[in-house]
Amino acid sequence: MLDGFDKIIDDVAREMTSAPVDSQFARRVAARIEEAAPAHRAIWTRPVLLAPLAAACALVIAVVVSRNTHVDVERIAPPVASHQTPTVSVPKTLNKEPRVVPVARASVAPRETARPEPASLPPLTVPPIGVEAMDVETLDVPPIVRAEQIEIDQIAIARIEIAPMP
Amino acid sequence: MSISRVDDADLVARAREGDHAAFTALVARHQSAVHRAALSAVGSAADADDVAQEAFLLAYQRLRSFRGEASFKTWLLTITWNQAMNHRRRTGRWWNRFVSVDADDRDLFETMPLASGESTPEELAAAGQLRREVRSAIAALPPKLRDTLLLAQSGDYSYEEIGAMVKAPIGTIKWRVSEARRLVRRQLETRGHFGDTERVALRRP
Repeated sequence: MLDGFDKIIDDVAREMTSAPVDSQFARRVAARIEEAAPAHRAIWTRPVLLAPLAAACALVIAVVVSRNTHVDVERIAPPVASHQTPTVSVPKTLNKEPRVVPVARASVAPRETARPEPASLPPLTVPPIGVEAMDVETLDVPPIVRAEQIEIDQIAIARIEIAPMP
Repeated sequence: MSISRVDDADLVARAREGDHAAFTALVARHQSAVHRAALSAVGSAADADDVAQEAFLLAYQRLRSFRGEASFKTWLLTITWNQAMNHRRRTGRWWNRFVSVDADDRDLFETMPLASGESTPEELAAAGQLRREVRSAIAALPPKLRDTLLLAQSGDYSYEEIGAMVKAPIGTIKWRVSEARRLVRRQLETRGHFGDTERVALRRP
């Protein structure tokens, strides 16, 4: 229950926020809205402002789009000119049948079909290169050559001249 | 159909389509609540008028952003309160208007029908003095408590609407009102006023 002070406090607080609203208030608001609206339109609908603004916007958009497209094409282009699929081969001297493991190419799309937006590209996934363990039963190694004798050609001396001693 | 029977949502829809009369009807419907909220914040009738006009103008310009998640009145009051806070920050002297009791205020207090014909001149003088001190004590409250007390006692807003305006939950609003009353009571008691002796101030004709 409110005591005497609380009632006075509430009463005074109510008085502090009570002031009669001007009877012309709504009309003045409407007038301000009318004033604000034409000025707002006049600035942004003038062709002399709109035309250069539109041209500038178009130019900026064109530059941004072209730059994005150029960067994306470079990013997704294959790094090597060769279009052959690289392989990993095992030498034929092995007994086991050599396996050829195809390796996924880094680039998945040719240059002509590159999409301009990098966000729309599917993520590149390179499957791991798996080479199974190879069992080798024998290795054919040619025997080492052992020399029995060394043949040296005879040295032929035609003449030896000895000078007389003094 | 009389425009007074059209609800706010319909008036807003019509105003969005460029019907100025519909927006004028919204202004007429809510001008009192907007004006009181502005007055609670800025403390001057003239400034409150300016703030209220700015709030309605801003509301008209932002009408397309009103999504109807809250009532139009709540949305409008939130705009009003933000405008009032901006005004308060710009001026920085709003509280002087509450604290100082100038000649006009004194006239207002002394001409108020505070008591019935049974009151003696001494009682009338005491009642006027008490009200001035209550007013001064309210003005000296911390801003959040003062704002909430004034909004709550204006009678135009629910606690939900006040909470939306000052961006605080309802529980906080209730606590602020209670705390504001307690601080004002304590201030009055330190000045020698006691509830039983001041009941004359409550007596209305």
